[in-house]
Amino acid sequence: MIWFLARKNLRRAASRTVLLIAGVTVAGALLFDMSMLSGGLERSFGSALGRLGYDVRVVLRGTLPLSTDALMPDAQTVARRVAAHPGVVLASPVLATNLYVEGPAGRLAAVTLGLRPEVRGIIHLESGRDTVEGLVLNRELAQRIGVSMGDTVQLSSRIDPQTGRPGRTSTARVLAIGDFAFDLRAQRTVAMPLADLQHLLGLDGNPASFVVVKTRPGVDPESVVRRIVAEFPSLDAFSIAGLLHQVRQQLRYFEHFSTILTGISLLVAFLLIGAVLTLSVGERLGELAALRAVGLSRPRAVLLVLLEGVVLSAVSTPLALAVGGIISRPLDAILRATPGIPQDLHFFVMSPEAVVRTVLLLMITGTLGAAHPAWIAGRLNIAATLHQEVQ
Amino acid sequence: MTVPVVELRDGARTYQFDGTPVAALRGVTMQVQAGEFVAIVGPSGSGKSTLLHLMGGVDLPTSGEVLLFGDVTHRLRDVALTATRLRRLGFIFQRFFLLPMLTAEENIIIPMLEAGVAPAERTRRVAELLEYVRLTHRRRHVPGQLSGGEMQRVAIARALANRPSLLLADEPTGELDQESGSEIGRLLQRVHHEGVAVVVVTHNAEIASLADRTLVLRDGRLA
Repeated sequence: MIWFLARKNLRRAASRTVLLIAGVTVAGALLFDMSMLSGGLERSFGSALGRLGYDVRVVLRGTLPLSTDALMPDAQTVARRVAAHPGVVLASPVLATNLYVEGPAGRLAAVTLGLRPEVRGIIHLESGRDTVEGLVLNRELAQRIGVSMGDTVQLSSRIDPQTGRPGRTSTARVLAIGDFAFDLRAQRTVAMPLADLQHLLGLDGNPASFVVVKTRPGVDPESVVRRIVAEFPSLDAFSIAGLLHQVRQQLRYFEHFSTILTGISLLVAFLLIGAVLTLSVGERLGELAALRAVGLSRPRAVLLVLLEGVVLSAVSTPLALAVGGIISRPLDAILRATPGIPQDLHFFVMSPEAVVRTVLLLMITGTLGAAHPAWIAGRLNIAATLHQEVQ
Repeated sequence: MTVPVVELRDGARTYQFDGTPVAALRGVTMQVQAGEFVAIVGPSGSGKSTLLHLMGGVDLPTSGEVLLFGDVTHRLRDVALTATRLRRLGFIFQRFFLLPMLTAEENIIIPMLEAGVAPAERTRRVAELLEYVRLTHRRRHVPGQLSGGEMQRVAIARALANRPSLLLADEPTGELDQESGSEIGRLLQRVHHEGVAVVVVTHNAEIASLADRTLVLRDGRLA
């Protein structure tokens, strides 16, 4: 009966109920967006790292795992020794630097990766291949310097500040044009075989920026991390979880931002439901007193009003999820347009956790919002209310 | 000797208004036997509604005792008192207090739903009650589409939904014209003839004339 009455009561002032649902929907949409934002970048980053299939990254101790100019000496030997671990499938050094790349339309600086052919997944070529056996440019760079596949470009490690001419140079044919994982917006990137890059830079001793490691299925990456750290005291190793921990530390302000806005949206939903239901209960005190007189118990009267709050939340929740999902796209686009954000990363990431969190918080808020009017209904003095209603 | 359906033993009710005690009912002693029709009359403010509320267990005496079906109301827990009202009592109000968003039959069903009456039995009883108050043709109408007399007839059907032993009516004709009032009076008399005790607070002499006994209240005391 309570369920029946709760639904009927909400349909009674249909326009007010619709406006209330609209208000709670908007607040809920913001709540959902904040739930997506709170861990979105971390989830997106973790997902992108996971897609590459390299669970562990080895860097020089004391350097940042995601951004370093320091070089690890004899990285080839390090990679070979790491690859010898029973839990490791592959370990390969990666050299990251900047080069000047000159084509018919000009000369531009580009992020350059030196990779061994066995390192796959970082580049997606138009041909569908993902390995580097020659010079690969990303679309942005190819377009800006006016080259296409088969063209020759000039690579140089530095420009003489006096003459403006490139220093050590090398000429190479563009083997492929493709997309690079973790490219920033408008970033120019080039990849080439590791040995060629080391040679161009004049680096001896097989140095690299870091070593990527792929573990066997079922092997805990943390155990590999521990073994590497124990074996190479001068190196640090990070699993994806470890990297995400670093990201989480660096992006804590997003969490704070979303927590504050989550609180505001919950407060708005709470106040909306509380205010409207308090008004509604105030308007039907006589009916509630009569219902109590004909046999509705006090707990059931309380439950009736609480249920109205829950119904309001339940109706608003799917709408809030839909609206929040729609709004998150332009918001994500705005944030991704920030310089320095890899194109593969997203700030607003839809996840089961975000959906469950939103649903639970909205239902709890609806129930809490109805608590005060429910208390009024429960505390109602039947005789006094009936008496007042006929005055 | 049968237990009275309701009994007051020196029942009194005092309200506090801005810290000042105001006695609405002063030491009333009375009984209503099963199947009896009692009218309570008296000037406004004499305590009629207060007496009815005490008899119905929606209010408790500040002194003395009210026994409802042999149980002392102020010793019963709220849940037990509510259950008594639901299953053994029927209430009729001056302002009807029908739920405006429900149809006539839905309003009548409410006490049965609360009492857990089986769906088939509910349907049968609603049809019977609508027939009883001659509103079968109005069963799908909401209170806003009914006249005052029709609303009060729906309220009577609602009060009879769980087959009570005692029907309490507070000024049931107070908002009705003479013709509708007479019809309500006839209905109450019919209910009484079917063995239900009826207590009606009224200013209407015609209704009072139908009762077996008329009690007069003045300044919170039985005259």
